[in-house]
Order: sequence, then structure tokens, then C-alpha cells
Amino acid sequence: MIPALGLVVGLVLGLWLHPDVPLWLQPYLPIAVIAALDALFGGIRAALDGIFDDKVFVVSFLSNVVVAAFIVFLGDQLGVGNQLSTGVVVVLGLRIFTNVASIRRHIFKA
Amino acid sequence: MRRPRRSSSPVTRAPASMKDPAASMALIFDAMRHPVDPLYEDVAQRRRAAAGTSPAHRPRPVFLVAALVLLGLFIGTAAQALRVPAAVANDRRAQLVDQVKSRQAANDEVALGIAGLRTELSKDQRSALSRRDEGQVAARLQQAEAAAGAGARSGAGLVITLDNPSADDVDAADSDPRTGQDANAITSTDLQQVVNGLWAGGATGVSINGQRITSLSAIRFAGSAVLVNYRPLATPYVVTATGSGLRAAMTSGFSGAYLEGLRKSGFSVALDARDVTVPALAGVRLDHAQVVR
Repeated sequence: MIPALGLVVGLVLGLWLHPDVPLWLQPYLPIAVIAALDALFGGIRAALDGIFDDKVFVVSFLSNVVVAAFIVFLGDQLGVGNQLSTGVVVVLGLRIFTNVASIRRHIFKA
Repeated sequence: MRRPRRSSSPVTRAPASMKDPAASMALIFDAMRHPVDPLYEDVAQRRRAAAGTSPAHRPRPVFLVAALVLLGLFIGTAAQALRVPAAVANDRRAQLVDQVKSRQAANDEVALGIAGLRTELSKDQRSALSRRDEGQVAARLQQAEAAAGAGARSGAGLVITLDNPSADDVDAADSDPRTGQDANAITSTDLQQVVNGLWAGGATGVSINGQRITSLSAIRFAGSAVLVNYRPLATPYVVTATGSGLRAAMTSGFSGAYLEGLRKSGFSVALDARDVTVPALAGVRLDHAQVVR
């Protein structure tokens, strides 16, 4: 419950505070968000499987975000930023879908 | 006898056709089969192994809450930073439209100035020629100007007004969705036919919506707009021509049949024979000049 509240608080803060994102960081923002969402759904699924661990969650969350942003940054430097972003989105998207499907199975038993 | 070493391995002995046909999908299948961070499983296993020896794990929600606040902050920030609000987009569009309009107005103003200077110039030209008694040159100049559309012409003539059918009785099925061309709109071809008919009927000067048609003018289509002299025109198209007997020319023969066909297709076609003025071409270029001795 408290963690969910934290999510809402962060969301409101982001929308309300209007933090200025430097221009060079903007291309990595969507990828970072997708990576963070992947960590979130992975965590929820692990919790439903009974193997959730908060330390693992925080580590996977941070490393996912950093690695995803780094891959896109590297791709930009090599001139294949678009392709690499697509790759990251495909893999993370697949994982998110699979996790959501199994979360659904856990909750609704269907 | 040495047997080939390879055949000893049962894995590699399998013929190539036995290879998993979906081998190239392995990466994607792996992502789908193990969507959860493998670290969770590792930690759970370690904890299960240590369950007997150490006290039960106490979750610390501080990190968790911090991570989730961060995630929310991410999403909120991304939404704010990357979304262009419709109001801003509209604002920018309006700015561009304003810019186009103001530049167009400036252009028109400059064109007006050019026209004024040109009249002054031709007046000076004429007075200079008359002063030097160069009647022949003056006559040639007049002829050349008439041919190039450099001067306005007025006299008896004909005004043909063409307009699209009103939106009420338009059959949308007539439009061609592939080319985006509306079957219920006057095309550049229609205008070309009318102008050619007028020339054939003996017109001495023709203009469409104030754009003088000369031997260098083009009546073209660009998108859904008709361009004359590279200027987009709006309906209704008013074709003005000077010359005698134009009405008779435009009501008989090929041109008459063409206009009749347009009328039957639902376009409004109006012919009006009266005294008209055909304006001069806005952008006359000087290509040839000769010193008169």
C-alpha cells in the first residue's frame, strides 16, 4: 500500500513540480521509463510468486534504467540509436506483457 | 581406422534439418520465458537454504518506496517534458500562419510599388520617344508590351465565371481518394481549355482572378489548388478577356461544348459580355534591351 502511494506521490511531484529536463537527457527519458516499468512489473510478479525482495527490486530498477539509457546513448554515438531503442523497447515490452499476463493469472486466476 | 571425431558427439550428429527451426527466435523466447529478474530467484534460493540458520527476513520498505517515488517522478517528468500540448501546437501553427500572411502582405505592397514605378517608367519612356520623334520605336514598344502583358488592356470583352458546385449537392463518392483530387472541383485543365478557347476566339488579353495570362504563364495544379503565374487562386475563377466576338466563340464549337459539359456536371458557368479591363502582368522581366541611337 505504502509503495503504491509512493508511486502516486512521485507521479504528482513530476507533474506538479515541472522539473526542467536538460535537452541532452530527453531522448533517454522514454527508454528509462519503459525500463523502470519493466522493473516494476517484474517486482509485482515476484511478489505474487512469493520471491519478492526489496533490495533486488531497487537494484534491478536502477540498473535497468541506467543500462537502457546507456544502450540508447551508445547507439546514438554509433549512429544506430533508433534501431537500438527499438530493440530495447521490443525486449522490455515483451517482458512487461509477459509479466502483466502472469500477474493477471495470479489475481484473477484466469 | 580413425573415425571422424565429430560423429562421436550425439548433439552434432543430428542432421542440419533437425535444428530448431526457431533458433533465431531464441532471444525473444528467452525474454518471454524469464521475464523476471533472475536475481529474485537467486535471493529466494539463498534464503531458503539459510532458512534454518538465520532469523526471518524483514523487508525494508524504505528503498522500495524511494524507488517507486523515483519511478513516478520519471513518468510524470517524461509526460511533462515529451508531450507537446495541443494548445502550444496550435499556437505555433497560428504563428506560422501569421508569418505567412504578413510576408504575403509585404510582398503585395512591394508589388504595388513595382507597378507604380513601372507606370512611371513607361510614361517617361513614351515622353522620351515622342520628344525624339521615334514613332516607329514607340509603336514597336507598344506591340511588344501588349504581347508580353506588360500593360493593362481595356475594352469590349467577356467575363466567364466558373465555380464549383455548392457543397450541398456534391456527391462525395465522386472524389478520388487515391489522388485526393475532387471530382467536383474546377481543375487546371478546365481553365486551360477556357483560356485556349478565348485565344482561339481572338482574345487580345486574358486574365484569371487578376493574374494576366501571357505566353509564359502556366495554369497548373498543385495539390488541390490551381496555380496561375505561381500564385494560388481561389474559387470562383473569373476569367476576363478583351476582344470582340468572344461570346459567340465561347458559345459555339468546341469551347461552347466544353462549357456546356461543365454546366451539365453541376458547375456554375456564367458568361457576361461587357467592357472589361485586363490588368498588367505583375512580374514582367526584362530579357532584351537595345539602345536606340
